[in-house]
Amino acid sequence: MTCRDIEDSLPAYLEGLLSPEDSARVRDHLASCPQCCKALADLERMGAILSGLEEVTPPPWLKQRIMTRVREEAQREKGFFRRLFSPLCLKIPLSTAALLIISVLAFQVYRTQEPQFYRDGDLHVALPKPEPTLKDHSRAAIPQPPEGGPSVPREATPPSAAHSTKSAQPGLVQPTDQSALRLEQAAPPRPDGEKKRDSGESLSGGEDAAEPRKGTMALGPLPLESHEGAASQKAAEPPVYASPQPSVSGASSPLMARKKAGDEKNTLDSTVTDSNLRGGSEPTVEIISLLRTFDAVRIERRTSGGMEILTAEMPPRQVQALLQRLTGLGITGRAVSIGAADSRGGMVPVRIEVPANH
Amino acid sequence: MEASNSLKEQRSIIEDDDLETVLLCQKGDVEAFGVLVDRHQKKMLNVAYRMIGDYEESCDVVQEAFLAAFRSVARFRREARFSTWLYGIVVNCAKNRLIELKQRKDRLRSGDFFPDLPPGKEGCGCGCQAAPLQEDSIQERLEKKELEARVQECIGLLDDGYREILVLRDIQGLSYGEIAEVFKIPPGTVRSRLFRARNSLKDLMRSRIGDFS
Repeated sequence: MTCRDIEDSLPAYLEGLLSPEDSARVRDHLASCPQCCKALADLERMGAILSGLEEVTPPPWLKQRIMTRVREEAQREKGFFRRLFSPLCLKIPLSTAALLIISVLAFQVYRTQEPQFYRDGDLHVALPKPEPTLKDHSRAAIPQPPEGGPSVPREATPPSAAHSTKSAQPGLVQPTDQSALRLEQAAPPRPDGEKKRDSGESLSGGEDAAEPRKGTMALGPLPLESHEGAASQKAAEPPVYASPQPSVSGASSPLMARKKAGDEKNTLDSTVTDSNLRGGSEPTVEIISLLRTFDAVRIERRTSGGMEILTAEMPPRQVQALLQRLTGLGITGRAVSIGAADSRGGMVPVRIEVPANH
Repeated sequence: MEASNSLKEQRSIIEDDDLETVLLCQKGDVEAFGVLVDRHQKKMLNVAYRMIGDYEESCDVVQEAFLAAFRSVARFRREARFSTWLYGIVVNCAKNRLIELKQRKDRLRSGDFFPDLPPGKEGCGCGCQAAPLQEDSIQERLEKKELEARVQECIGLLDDGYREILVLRDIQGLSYGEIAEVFKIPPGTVRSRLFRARNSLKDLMRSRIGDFS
């Protein structure tokens, strides 16, 4: 074993990490080698110097500086999360996205609720309309009382004058609510069919055919007027919306009872429609007047996308005349949609679009 | 195999006085970290100073190391003592700073080794200015300071792999197991490197200081 090997083993020898044999060998060598003894002494001295090195003291500002940086770091992390969830970064985009989604959904819902028309040349043909039920025809014979929602013509016409007009019509009576009640009380028990009619069931066609239509027709804003009734009353009777007082055939006492039963709902429907017809642009008012002239019923007006949309139902024979008058007003082409005639020879749906700022 | 067994044994008996404070820090208590800074800043500064040899640079390194520790304290898994973990951060920061300083020195081509601010210079935190000179003779104190400066110079001349182990073992007094944890190497490797570091330092001191025994 050379001196170099012994010197390499000296640190381990000092730490007592050598095996007993190696320790004995090193000890023997040290006894005979002053150079290796000097190396051992140097190592011991060096260890003493290293362990005795004076410690440096941290400056008083060191902790302050560290903690300042640490607090900044913590604030920055908090700030990052705060920014992430701050109104500017999250809430505004979220609310904007929510608003957009709601708007799109509302538009889609609106579109699905709209009546569907298929294009057919310049005219839009409506989907086949459900057949009107007997109930609806019978309702058509009962002018809806405008109670609770005054119509425009009613306000324009004095009640007394209107009453005298109605009284002049043959076969028609002008019952007040009280007289209608009296008629109902005096009326004999109705057959089952009439009861069913009153309770909302249809008698036209089979029950199977009537059932699905029950809801659609009964919930219309105004009753569908029968074709014959409309034709016969057209000359003497003002249009439905202009009717100041309900006119009911004297022989239709069960219908009077039905009228009373559905009074509240019909009143509401009429009110909504009448109030919808109020106002609007001048052309719209003119068109509404035209529609009334041509025996149109269920006239409704709504505004959508800067357009005023008028829908109504009218006898097919009046359609051509109406189109001519509309052409005279400059309303042609796609602005006018005529639906398919009712399969039972009833009314034709009409849809007229007028720009709101027309 | 032996190394991993010994590491496992050591992990199982780890007792850490800093554990509660570290848990507070992990829960976001910033002020609890101040307690850890108070407790460890001196040891960390001494390690950095012995590795770098410059007091101000060492302060910067310690600051950087504590900041790095704060950033990653949430990931501290308590497999070792907090101080051991912190030693590792400080050593890494010091090594990185040494690389930067060496690059800067190469650019300037000046000086053999840091410190730029040797002990005894005004502003040094080693306590040489504040120590009462009445107790020891001025001559003895100056000789000691000069010897320490030379030893520090020799430490700075050691290879990186030797210097840090020698500083942690012979100056800071860490066990072989702790040093093994810091550097993630087996304790046997720590011992062999340490013995080589001691022999190297002894040779350096002989050549630079002469007969120091």
